Amino acid sequence: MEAVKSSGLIEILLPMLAIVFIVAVGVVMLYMHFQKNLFAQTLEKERLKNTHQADLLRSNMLTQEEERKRIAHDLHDELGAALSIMRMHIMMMEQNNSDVPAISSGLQNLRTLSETALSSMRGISHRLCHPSWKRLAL
Amino acid sequence: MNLVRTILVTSDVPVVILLVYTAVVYKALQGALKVFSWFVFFSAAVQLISLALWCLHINNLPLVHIYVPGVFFCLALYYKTVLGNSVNGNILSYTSWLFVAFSVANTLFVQSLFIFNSYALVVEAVLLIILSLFTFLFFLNDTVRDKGMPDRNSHAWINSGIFVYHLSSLLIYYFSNVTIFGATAAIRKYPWIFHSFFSIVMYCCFLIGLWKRSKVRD
Repeated sequence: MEAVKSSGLIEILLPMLAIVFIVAVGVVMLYMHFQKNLFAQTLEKERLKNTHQADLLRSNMLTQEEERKRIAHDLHDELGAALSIMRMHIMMMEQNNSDVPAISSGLQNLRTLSETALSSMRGISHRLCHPSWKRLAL
Repeated sequence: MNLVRTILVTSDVPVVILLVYTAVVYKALQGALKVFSWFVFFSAAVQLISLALWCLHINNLPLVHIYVPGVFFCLALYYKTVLGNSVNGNILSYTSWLFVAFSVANTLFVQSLFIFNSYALVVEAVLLIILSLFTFLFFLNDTVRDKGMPDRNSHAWINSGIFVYHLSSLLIYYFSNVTIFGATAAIRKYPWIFHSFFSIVMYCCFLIGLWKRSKVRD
């Protein structure tokens, strides 16, 4: 009688074992799936972070480029024009005072200095708009 | 040798393979995997002695009474190393010593050496299921993932093996004394065939875990 009862128990136990085993394997597979998803999420997060950083860098460089262009134009249009007018006035004064050697010599020096300043200003303006900067800002 | 006997003996093949592999790579193992290798040596030694006694028709049930506390002690140490600072190390130490004490008391006063120590086995299985589930959660933790734990994939396989085996075998352990001593000889072997299958699955997971370890240090 006891053996029959035990045999009945085993008959119930065997499918239960199979079910529990499937559940256990399911839990492990679920864990692996979660882990895979989390890994994919981490990768996506890193990718988005990198893209954002690249965008920030690009935007920063574009702003810098715009600022450089503005400074170059301001230098060329405003300071350049002022220096040119100054040089023109000095030349006129030089012509008017050509008979006074002391004044003429001083004005010549002033003209040379203004020409040097104009040339330096053009150089700086040109370097600020150098093509290599434009390439970097692309 | 009949089919049932063949299946039961075959279940020890992965144990031998794992034992040999662990012995070969033992020097290269570090940290928690080194602790795990102690479990492999202990478990394999007891199982092979048990198989030898079974072949010699000598009752091998007393070995289970040594095997259960020994295995739990090794695995608790392994989990303590894996989980590190995430769990108070004292909790696992106290649990393992308490379990050893419970197991010895169970053998001395409740289930003698020649009866299956089902109570100790059930408690061991429940504790290991809890520990393995906690370890799964630990591995999914953002901090652990960001920090990059060495050999995490190996530990995940080992933990999966422990979880699947102990959860699947829980019912067998619970009804072990009924199935061993109550049923007819023909039918009482079936749960143990299932047990052998679960054991094969567990040792295969262990083998994959050790195989997938970081081999940079080797």
